[in-house]
Amino acid sequence: MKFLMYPSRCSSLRKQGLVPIILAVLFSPTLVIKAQSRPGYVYDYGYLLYQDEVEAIESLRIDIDNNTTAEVVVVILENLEGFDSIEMAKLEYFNDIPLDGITGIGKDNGVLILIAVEEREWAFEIGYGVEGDLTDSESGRIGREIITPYFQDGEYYYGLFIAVATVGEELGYDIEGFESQEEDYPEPDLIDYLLEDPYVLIWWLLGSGGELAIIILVFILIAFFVFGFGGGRGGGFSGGGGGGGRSGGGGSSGKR
Amino acid sequence: MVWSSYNGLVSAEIQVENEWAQIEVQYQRRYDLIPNVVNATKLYINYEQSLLTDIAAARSGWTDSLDGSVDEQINAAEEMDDVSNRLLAVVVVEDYPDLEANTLVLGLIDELEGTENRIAVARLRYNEAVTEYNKKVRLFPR
Repeated sequence: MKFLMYPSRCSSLRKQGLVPIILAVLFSPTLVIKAQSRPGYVYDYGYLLYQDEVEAIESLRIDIDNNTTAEVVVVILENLEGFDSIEMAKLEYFNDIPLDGITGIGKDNGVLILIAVEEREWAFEIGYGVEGDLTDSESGRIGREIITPYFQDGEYYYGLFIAVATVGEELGYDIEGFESQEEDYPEPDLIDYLLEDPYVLIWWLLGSGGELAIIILVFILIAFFVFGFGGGRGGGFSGGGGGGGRSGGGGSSGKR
Repeated sequence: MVWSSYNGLVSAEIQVENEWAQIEVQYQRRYDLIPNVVNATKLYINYEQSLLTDIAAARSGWTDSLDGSVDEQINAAEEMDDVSNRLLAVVVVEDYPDLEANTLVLGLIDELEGTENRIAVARLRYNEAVTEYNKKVRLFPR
């Protein structure tokens, strides 16, 4: 892009009609590369999110960038090793990440949300250009009332997604327009996840208060009944089923 | 040659002045915020009288230094650093459950903490600008 700032240097070439060719040769590969490898601004070094969750937050972020020219960046760190405090860490990352959103150059309108997983801390760093729109008290409120409670419930994705959306709203972004596209941003598919790992399925069943375990036990017993294995024990099975479910629940929490 | 390095010197000096102006903005913000935080939290926190007197002294010292040199302002600012840090050390919201529920007060505390962070950044940039300027002064005229 720097070449474009010195058009006078090209003027002698322009007469020869070479400029379009030179421009095409010079810029087209870089532009293509840039478009392809335009860095995402959601960095999950702390392994809090699934890939599709990162992509969903990234999509929201791009939408905010397109609407307001402000770059909202999310950095999740495993820990704060190498930094004196989260304040130092956020400065380092804020200054190192190139906030070169197409229309936001020089506006200093980036917002960084930094999460330190082990320390259980969050921090916002706000560019000079948007300090008026997103004050410290507003970002503090987003952290306290959105990030903290969601994270305490283990809802990292929702906490971050809503935090980014709220930051966007403070910067003048209309979240309504985004909601219509919500189906593009899939929720993590619990069933797929459970089927991938049978142990997770078992723990989940045991951990769900036992109801599901009871239902499954009932089905198994009915199957036994139908196949004639338990023909004479019809009177005993509902009580036995309940007991089995409860003891299953107790066992799972003990092992945890 | 001398002319161009003189130009560089001037722009380095302007840079120093700009960075100082940035610091001053944040200092003024802190000056305004500190009494707000104290007043808003008085209901919840029983402040030691010595802290309140020191805050008052540091604030009037800062106002007086505005007419003085940059060095005097830096000294006065260090007094302000001290009382501001002491204030923030007292205002730890976890210790006051009632306070923790008051979003207005929490917001004020966020502002003060944020301002302290910005002061730290502005100082860093100011020091960098001064270092750059000093380098150019020593090299002048090239």
